[in-house]
Amino acid sequence: MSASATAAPAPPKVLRVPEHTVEIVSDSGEGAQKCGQIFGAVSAKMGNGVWTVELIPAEIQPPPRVPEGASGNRIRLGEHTVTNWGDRTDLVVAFNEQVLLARHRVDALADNAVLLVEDCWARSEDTDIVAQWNAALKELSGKHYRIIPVAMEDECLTIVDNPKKGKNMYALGLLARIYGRDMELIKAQIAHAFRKKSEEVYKQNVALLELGFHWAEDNIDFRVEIPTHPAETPLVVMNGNEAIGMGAIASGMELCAMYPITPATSVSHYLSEVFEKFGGIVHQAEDEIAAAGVAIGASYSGKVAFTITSGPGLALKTEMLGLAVMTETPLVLVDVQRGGPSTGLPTKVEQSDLLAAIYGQTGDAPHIVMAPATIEECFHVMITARRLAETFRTLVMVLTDANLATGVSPYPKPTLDEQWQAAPLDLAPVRDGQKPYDWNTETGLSERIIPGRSGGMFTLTGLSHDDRSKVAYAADIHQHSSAMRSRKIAVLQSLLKPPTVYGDDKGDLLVVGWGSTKGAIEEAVDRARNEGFKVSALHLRFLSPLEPGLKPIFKKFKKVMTVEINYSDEIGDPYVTEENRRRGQLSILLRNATLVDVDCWGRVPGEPLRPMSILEAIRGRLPRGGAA
Amino acid sequence: MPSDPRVAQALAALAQPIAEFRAAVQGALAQADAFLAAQTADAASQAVRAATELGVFGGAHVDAARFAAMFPAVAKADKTSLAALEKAAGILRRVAGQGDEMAVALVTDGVKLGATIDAALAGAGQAFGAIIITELVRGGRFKKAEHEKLLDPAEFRAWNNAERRFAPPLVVEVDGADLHAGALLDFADGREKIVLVVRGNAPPAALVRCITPGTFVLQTVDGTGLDRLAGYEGPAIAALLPEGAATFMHDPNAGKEPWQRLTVPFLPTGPFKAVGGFSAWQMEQDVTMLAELARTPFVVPSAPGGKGAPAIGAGEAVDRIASWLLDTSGLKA
Repeated sequence: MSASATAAPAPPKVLRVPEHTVEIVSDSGEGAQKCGQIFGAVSAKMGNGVWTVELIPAEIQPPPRVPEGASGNRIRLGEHTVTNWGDRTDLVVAFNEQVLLARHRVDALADNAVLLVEDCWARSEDTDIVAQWNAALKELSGKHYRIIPVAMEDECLTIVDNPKKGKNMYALGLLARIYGRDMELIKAQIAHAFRKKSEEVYKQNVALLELGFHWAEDNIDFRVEIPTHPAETPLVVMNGNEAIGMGAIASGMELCAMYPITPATSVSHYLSEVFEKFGGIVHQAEDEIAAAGVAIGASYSGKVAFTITSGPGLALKTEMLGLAVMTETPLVLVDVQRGGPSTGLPTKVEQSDLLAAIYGQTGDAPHIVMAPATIEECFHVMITARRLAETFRTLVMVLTDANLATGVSPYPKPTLDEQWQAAPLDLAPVRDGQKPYDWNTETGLSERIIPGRSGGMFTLTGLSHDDRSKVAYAADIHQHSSAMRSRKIAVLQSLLKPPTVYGDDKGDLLVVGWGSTKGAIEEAVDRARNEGFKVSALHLRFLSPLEPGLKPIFKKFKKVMTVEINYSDEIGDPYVTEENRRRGQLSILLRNATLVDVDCWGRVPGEPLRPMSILEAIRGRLPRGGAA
Repeated sequence: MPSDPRVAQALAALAQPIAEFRAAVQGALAQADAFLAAQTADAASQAVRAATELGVFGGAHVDAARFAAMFPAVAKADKTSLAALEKAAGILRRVAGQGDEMAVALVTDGVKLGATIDAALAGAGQAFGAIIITELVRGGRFKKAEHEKLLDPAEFRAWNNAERRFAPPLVVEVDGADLHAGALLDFADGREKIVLVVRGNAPPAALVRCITPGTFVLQTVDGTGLDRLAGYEGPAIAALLPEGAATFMHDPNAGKEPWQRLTVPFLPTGPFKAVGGFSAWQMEQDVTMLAELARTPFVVPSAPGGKGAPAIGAGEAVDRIASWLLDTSGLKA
């Protein structure tokens, strides 16, 4: 460990690498996330592949200088497309040593990571703080980190009175110099970030940026160069929640009814700023149930509506979701999954709502469940969701997660198409004899009657009903109507394409995933294949119904294993047997659908899976050389 | 485009209702065109359509060809229906392709004001018929013998309530001598809005005859009040008149009583000279009528130290008078 920066008269050493991972960590409220967001966005605009992950403490306002309060951003930069947050961080800017410890303790830092850390704490008048500083340095010395103390506070105090409000821009300046970022792009991004503030605020932030830049110029003896490849086609840079919001607009949705819940809320924050310009409104209801009710009501009346939530909200909406299914009212619900059960890990990623999403409603409530795998897919899935909800007159759930929701990545700017939007309502009189549930007995499909159509009046009810929507408790009617609602899901499955295998279509192990793990799984599979393992991957987007042809695909592999961010027992754990083993949620679905002995590997660390962890799981399932 | 700048002023004020009508026509045209295109679409093009509608995500995971076969864009229509729809689409295309001239009419020599408006609105009425035909064909309910006449021009008197609610506004250029207000009453229904741009000498208060409790009526010299007319959720008639005419606004939202609804910034005094077929006596009658409608029925004197009582309506007058008397006599508790 070296302990000081050096004045650098010699030219700095240039480290030219295909990728590098950066973290900015601070106490909550010090702006590390804004620094990371700007750094990530500018890097993407310059032509680097980017994947960012927000590091968010579980508490809204944790106490300062505690490891649990670490807040910030991790940005993985690459020469080419980056699909996940990677394994470990190569360079960290930390505003205190305690948040740095937090990252060290979860093994987030590479052994030779460079740590730029605010050192004012070493000179504190509070002896406890000095003792904490010394203890932290001792703990960190167990690795081969290079620690570079930076007097951020002293530097910032030359420009601002409260350095807590300025360190983030100073840190951005450090990173801008080290990574050779375009300062004009950064300034433009700062102007955008502070567009609601005064010119004075902008100027002050730019001054801090330049201060950090020049300090790094004079004192940091290395530079990191990641080749950039500016995109030939326009890109957009956003997080998954913004992509969901934009996708909703592009799909012609007109109402977002919601109740605030982490990590879904920012969809509505984004939409609140822009939705009205496109004829939509955001309705913040009094609670989760009401939000679902408003969306159902709007959809019933002919508007295209959706609701957003996360785990606890999904639980509260249960009865309303059943109503949408029973009344065959189109509804799109976006569940931005977080750690559970109960309030669980509000700010952390998990994929534990899958079974709740599919089976969580009382009674038999067949509906569609889809999961985008990338931030780009978060945009496009909304167009499909709206179309399917209306075509099949049912509930469509879209499962994203905190990783997609807060992660930022560039993707090709979508070329909008008018046909993505719903066709104008047909308010013509209904046909003579047309019933509100004129089920095609083969498909279960029926034409939706919009209120206001002449001759189309009927009583909408969540009670069991016949095709005229008359309340009917007769056994044969309930059996028939249940079959009709269920049949639609089978019809959709018959229209789906079989999924595509990533890698060879036969081998020793097939890793199956869903949702945000796609990038990490495929990277792990690539590494495993380079090591000689005969392993491939399969990523599902439709979970209900499942995509067709899975069994024939599975049969070409000796083993099939799901990788999920939800809990599963491991064989070998105390008391755990093949019979009582609690398996990953997707593996339960797949075993049920295919009768194949699908294994599982799941972790719930409150962070995205690392390719390295998945690779280790693959190695654990297969002997070296690939012979299963 | 018309040379009288007041026409442009009126069109600008009516831009929103004009845009609403045009959007309805364009929406129906899009539906008609899509239906007609789908009738001749082969399986491949239907699959392309389905893939597009499903979006990039759906297109990657849903078999668009089978989806299109399962959910055809439209039902097959017979030749008679399709012929009617093509004719309807032509009408809609013509109306949608018109600029602001769609909303402007000119009263020419020998043609009466009412007939001019009737002729101008008949085109819009034909568009309404075309919209209905579009819905009928798309819904498989078109019957030639019963419905084909809907494609003929239709005068306002034949419009149904919904059509009158969605009526396009009209700006009419007319000589003052032809300002027969009575003709305008035929069109005071639904949300029809007519603005007359009056040229030359004109009867000073002709539109007073159009006042009914639910009709917004405006006489203006400089365009004041046109914005309120455009936003009124009911029938409205206005005239942009030369200097010297009475100016007034009858806004049904302003109160229950006629004098509450009526504001008269300027009321000319006679003697008046005959204009065209309007005699001086008729003009004086109009002005008198306007003055009487606007007259406050009773004004309560101010209570001592008070700020003056507001004008009141007849219904409240007794109570107000009693209150004032009690105040001034010191008997009020």
